Amino acid sequence: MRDRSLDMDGGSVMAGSMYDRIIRINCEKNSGSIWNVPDDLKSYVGGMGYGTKLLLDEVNPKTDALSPDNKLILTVGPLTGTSAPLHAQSCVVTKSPLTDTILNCYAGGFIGAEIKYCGIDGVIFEGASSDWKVVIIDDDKVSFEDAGPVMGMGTEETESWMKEKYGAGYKTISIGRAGEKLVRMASLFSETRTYGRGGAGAVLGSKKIKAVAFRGTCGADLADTDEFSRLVKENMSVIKDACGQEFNLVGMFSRFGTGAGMGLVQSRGALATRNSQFGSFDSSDAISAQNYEKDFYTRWVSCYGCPVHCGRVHKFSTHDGGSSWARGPEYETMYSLGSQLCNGDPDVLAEANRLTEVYGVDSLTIGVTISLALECAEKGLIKDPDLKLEFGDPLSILGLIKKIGDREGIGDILAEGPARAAEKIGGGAIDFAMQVKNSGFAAWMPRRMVGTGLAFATSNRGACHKRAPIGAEITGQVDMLSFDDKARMVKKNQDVVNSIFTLISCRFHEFMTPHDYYPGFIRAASGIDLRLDEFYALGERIWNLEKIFNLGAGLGREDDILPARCYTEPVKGAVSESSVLDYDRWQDMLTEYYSLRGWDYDGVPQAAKLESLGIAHYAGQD
Amino acid sequence: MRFVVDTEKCTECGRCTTVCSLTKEGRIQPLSARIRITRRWPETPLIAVCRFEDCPGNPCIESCSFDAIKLIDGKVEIIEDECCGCSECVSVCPFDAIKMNDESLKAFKCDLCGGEPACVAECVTGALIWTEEA
Repeated sequence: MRDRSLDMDGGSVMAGSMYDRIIRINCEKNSGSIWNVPDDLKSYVGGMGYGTKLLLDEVNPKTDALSPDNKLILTVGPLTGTSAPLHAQSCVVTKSPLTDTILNCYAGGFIGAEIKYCGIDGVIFEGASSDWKVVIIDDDKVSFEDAGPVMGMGTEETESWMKEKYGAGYKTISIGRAGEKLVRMASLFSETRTYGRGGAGAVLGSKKIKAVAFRGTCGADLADTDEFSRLVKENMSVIKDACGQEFNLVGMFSRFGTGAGMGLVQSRGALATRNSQFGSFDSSDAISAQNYEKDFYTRWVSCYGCPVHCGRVHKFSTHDGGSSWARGPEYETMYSLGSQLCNGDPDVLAEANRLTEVYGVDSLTIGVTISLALECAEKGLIKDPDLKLEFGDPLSILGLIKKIGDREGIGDILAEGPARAAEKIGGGAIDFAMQVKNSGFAAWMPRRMVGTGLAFATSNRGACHKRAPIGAEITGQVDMLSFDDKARMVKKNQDVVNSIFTLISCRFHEFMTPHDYYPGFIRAASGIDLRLDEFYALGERIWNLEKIFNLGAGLGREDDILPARCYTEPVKGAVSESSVLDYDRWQDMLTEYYSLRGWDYDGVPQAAKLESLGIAHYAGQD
Repeated sequence: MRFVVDTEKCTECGRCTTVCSLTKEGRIQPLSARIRITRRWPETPLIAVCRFEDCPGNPCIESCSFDAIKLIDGKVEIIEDECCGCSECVSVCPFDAIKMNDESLKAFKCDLCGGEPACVAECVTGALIWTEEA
């Protein structure tokens, strides 16, 4: 177990939780080297901050996301691998082949801590290998090996093979067949946890890297161990208290998993059903978390260091009479492969969820793409020689996952993502492709939750629910149908979440923890002094850097838009109040949002705003 | 006092291993923790920690040719200075609770934190309990 002081010029540098070292992996040369983090990057704290600045500085926004010129940046933050609860996540930033925007996506589990224990703050994958490889990272030593034996394998199978071959202590990130075949919604997987959105799996696939295994012996240091332990103790007490409350949202997740709120969403007429035509689903009870807990073998599991334990491992029956197990489905998947497809069978839902892990695809975007395909078939726009393509039909759902994952038949078109597929299918399909920037809707209905809709439309990575006022709207804290004050709420949410994604906090952490804890945590862990207002400003700065990248990639105001269904078709269903968005009011809200951001009518950040955020030198860059 | 381990309740979060390494090594390094969780999805995990109160015959003591493992004040302890690193104790431990330090090449295991195991306080689900009950 390596003594860190050996790396530190005689140990003169104060130990903190950031190692200030990143491994650059040259995929073309099959080699890796240590790169020392420069001071201007250190001010971005870590996680998403590091990834965003690095991508903007090093990758031309016009680069083809699947070309060797794109980079895939994997980062951790100052709280990763420490005892701070709910900080298991690690972050991937790259140019997305799905949305053509900058992408940041996150996975929990144990991989983040293992990366930190390698004595590094991240890894940058550059170029592309000529042959398929697996990459082994032992602390800071990098080796490449032939991926031949694992090609075509599912993600879990790949991980098992890696553990068997290299040792049980390794934590692996891998792609499935979808990533190998450059399916634009392919994800990266680590022990079922997924860097889900935006097609990062296809980017790693384009570099011909099937899997990356990490094993670290360095541990994590703290700048002020006593103060850090004190903060952790207090924070644990806050979290345990929240988890013990009957109506606390995270408390419900703790007891039932992330699907605990399905009943609430259904009761508010906001459970997207049948390709978002309806706001409620007759069989929602059958696929709810409470039902899985009641009727299925269930084990509670956690990500690294997390007392909430929202993970659920279930055993279930497969459609061919066999049995299997899965971690999940999580709430978002209960929608995307459940209600959205009129799939009310919890076994089929669990099997579909499992299949997305085998093929290595984002369960959200693939669900939305399937719901588009099923409606297209209903309207006579497409058909398939093997599948009925009907809502609620298990074989259609499972069959389409396989066909998309293998780019087989109709799956080859659908593998391009919902908007690209709809354009190709024609017949007005684009109007009911429930996506923004080609990324499938997360589990919420913009017509029922106006602020969340604005968050979907303005997200820099497309239809994103991670930075949306979901809690406030779904619980009725604010009027879900009102346009008032939503632009301000969304901007604040985006900036705050971007700031905590430098650490990298789980979203649920911020639900329970007073924000003034964050500066204390950062100081005690890494030694970086940052006031809370500076921390929030960092989030806004990162948001603007993302926007600059996207403008450079050629996106504009016309891309910050929801599909036509949201402005033209009222939501059907018992409690949905026939909701539909008024297009003119929507555009006014978008203009208000841009103005609050200090952007012009077209969404271009103004010089004064960039100046105030300390990034004036990025002005006019594209 | 003894450990009671309930694998059904363990969520595999590993907080026990983080706090153990912080307590014993002054930094977070689960590899050096005296307790180990091994995942076996979809089944319950293995939890490996020294449970000498429930250990038939304490075979580690017998196995050590150098008298480096002793019963002191009712507790089984490894005397680090006397350990020669043969790892015989590792192989006989029925609870898989003894590990070798890669660098010092000495055996180490849980010493119960002097009677108040830090890991127990960290376990939110009660998978690890420290009790007087048999």
